[in-house]
Amino acid sequence: MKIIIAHLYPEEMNIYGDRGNIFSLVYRLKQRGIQVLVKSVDRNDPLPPGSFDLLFAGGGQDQQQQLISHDLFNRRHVLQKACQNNIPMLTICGSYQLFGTYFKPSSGPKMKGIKIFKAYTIASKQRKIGNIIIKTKFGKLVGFENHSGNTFLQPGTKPLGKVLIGSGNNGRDKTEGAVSNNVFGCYLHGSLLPKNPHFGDYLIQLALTNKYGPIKLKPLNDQLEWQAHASAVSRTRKLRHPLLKYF
Amino acid sequence: MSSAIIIGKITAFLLKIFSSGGGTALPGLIALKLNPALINQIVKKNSLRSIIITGTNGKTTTSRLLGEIFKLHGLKFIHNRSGSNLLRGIASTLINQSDGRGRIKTTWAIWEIDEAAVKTAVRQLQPEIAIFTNLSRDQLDRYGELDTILKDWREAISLLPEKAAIVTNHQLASAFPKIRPLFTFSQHSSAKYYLNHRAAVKAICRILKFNSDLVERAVAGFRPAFGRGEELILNHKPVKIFLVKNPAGFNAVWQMLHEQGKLNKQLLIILNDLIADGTDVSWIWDIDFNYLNSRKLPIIVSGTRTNDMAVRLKYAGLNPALIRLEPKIKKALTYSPDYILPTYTAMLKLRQIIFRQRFD
Repeated sequence: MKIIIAHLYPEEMNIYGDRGNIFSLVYRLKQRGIQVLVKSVDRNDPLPPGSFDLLFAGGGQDQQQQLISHDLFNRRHVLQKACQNNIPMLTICGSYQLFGTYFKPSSGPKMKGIKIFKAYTIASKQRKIGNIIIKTKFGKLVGFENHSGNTFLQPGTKPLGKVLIGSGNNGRDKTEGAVSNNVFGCYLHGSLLPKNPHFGDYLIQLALTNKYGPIKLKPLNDQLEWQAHASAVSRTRKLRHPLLKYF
Repeated sequence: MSSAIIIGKITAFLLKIFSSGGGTALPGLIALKLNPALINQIVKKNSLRSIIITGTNGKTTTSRLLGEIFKLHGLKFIHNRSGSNLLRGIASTLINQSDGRGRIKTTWAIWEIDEAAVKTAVRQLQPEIAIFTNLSRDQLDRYGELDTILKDWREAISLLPEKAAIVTNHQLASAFPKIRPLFTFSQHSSAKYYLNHRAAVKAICRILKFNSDLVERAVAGFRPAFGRGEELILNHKPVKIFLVKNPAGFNAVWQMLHEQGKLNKQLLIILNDLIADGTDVSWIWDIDFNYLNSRKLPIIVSGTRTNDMAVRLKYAGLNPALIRLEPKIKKALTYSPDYILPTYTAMLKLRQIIFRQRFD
């Protein structure tokens, strides 16, 4: 078995160690004896339809988003088709925003998104920074958010989860992230997958099932990963304690 | 001005009696609340000539090296302690150094300035020389994005006195407005990062027309500050401590240990996520941990984010059986490491532990 992971814009869109997600996916596939190939896709690199089984794209600053937004927009048909074909994709922060309808940054022109999520993002003055815990149908996810954009979901797109601690999509409606078929978007840096191994495995399971039919994943020794998950959750509770802001 | 200074002095005095160290910024914080223009008033009253040093890495080393050269020239100066590099820290230092009427005996001041406080510091201090050592990802959870800092720095430059000089590396210089004299140096990377500090200091010495022999002597005999590789004794054994706070700094230390053939020694990495460290630990995924696949010796991991670092090492190829988790720093030290790589608050804790043992 072999899985091809497309890594979109590894140079421009990797600001808060988001490449850790790739490390996690690769490790978890290899440990199960599954071959894995990571294809870095930079601007103008080819990405033909059907050429990947899983896709990842990380976060970047406004300036970097500006740089890649045009290239991403040109790939919209390939990516929308992959979404319809249930290819799993994970997008974080800056990429998540551009997988929606549009992103209006604090300065500069509005960036057109590729409309995989029915969601739009508008920059706000208030930066949402801190550890975040959300509840999803796969269980709890813990990470670190750092964004000024406020994302609003529109009818037809479901959130990835409900915010337990933190700000989430916009700091108001308690939603975090978005889901469209097997495409997931969220604001969780940290990196996300290394300390949320259940979510990484879910993406891997989807990719393998698409390609090879129903399959049961061999469990791995995730003791360190789950310890990191648990300690991140307890640090979040401590650091986000409502009384702390008075110190 | 006087009342703010006196209240600041009283606060400092009370802190000295009732607290076990720390809290050095509090007198300044209170005094600035009473009189937000205090710093500028003291600066003006004394015609204080300031040099400010900012940047992601190398602030402390650069300012200490510059201080050595000042001493060799017989010049007295005041300076803030590393870690007190926000406005309140500057105010605390000035309060401490002045009499009740705000008079200071020295002409010169060397200031380490937090990257995010440069604009206000320039406005208040009106420095003669501003040094920007470098800019890389550090505590982005506090500052937002690099673009924001760069924008702040550009504005700070426009607020500098007309005759002020700027010292920086080539790369940053190209992003700065050319409205003040610029003195640039080429940036060295990885293991030779200390050359950047020397280059910056030499540029300042040229601006100040210092004796070049004395400069060379100071550079040659310079001992780094705590956490910059100085050899110390812990549990009767020598140990070297390298502060690590961002991927660039971590990679530089890692590469240097590799080049010196020291990567096969007993290593302790301490990752804290307190406010002064940056509460976001995702930066550890941007470190390039090379050479871990073949390691046979354990690495000890400690700090408030022990488990995050443990997972990072696992995914960098270190055999999980070689990862020792000891969240408590004191316990981790019982492994007698040869090298310790702590984040900022962990380094403070180490300093405390090592300082105390001298009196045991």
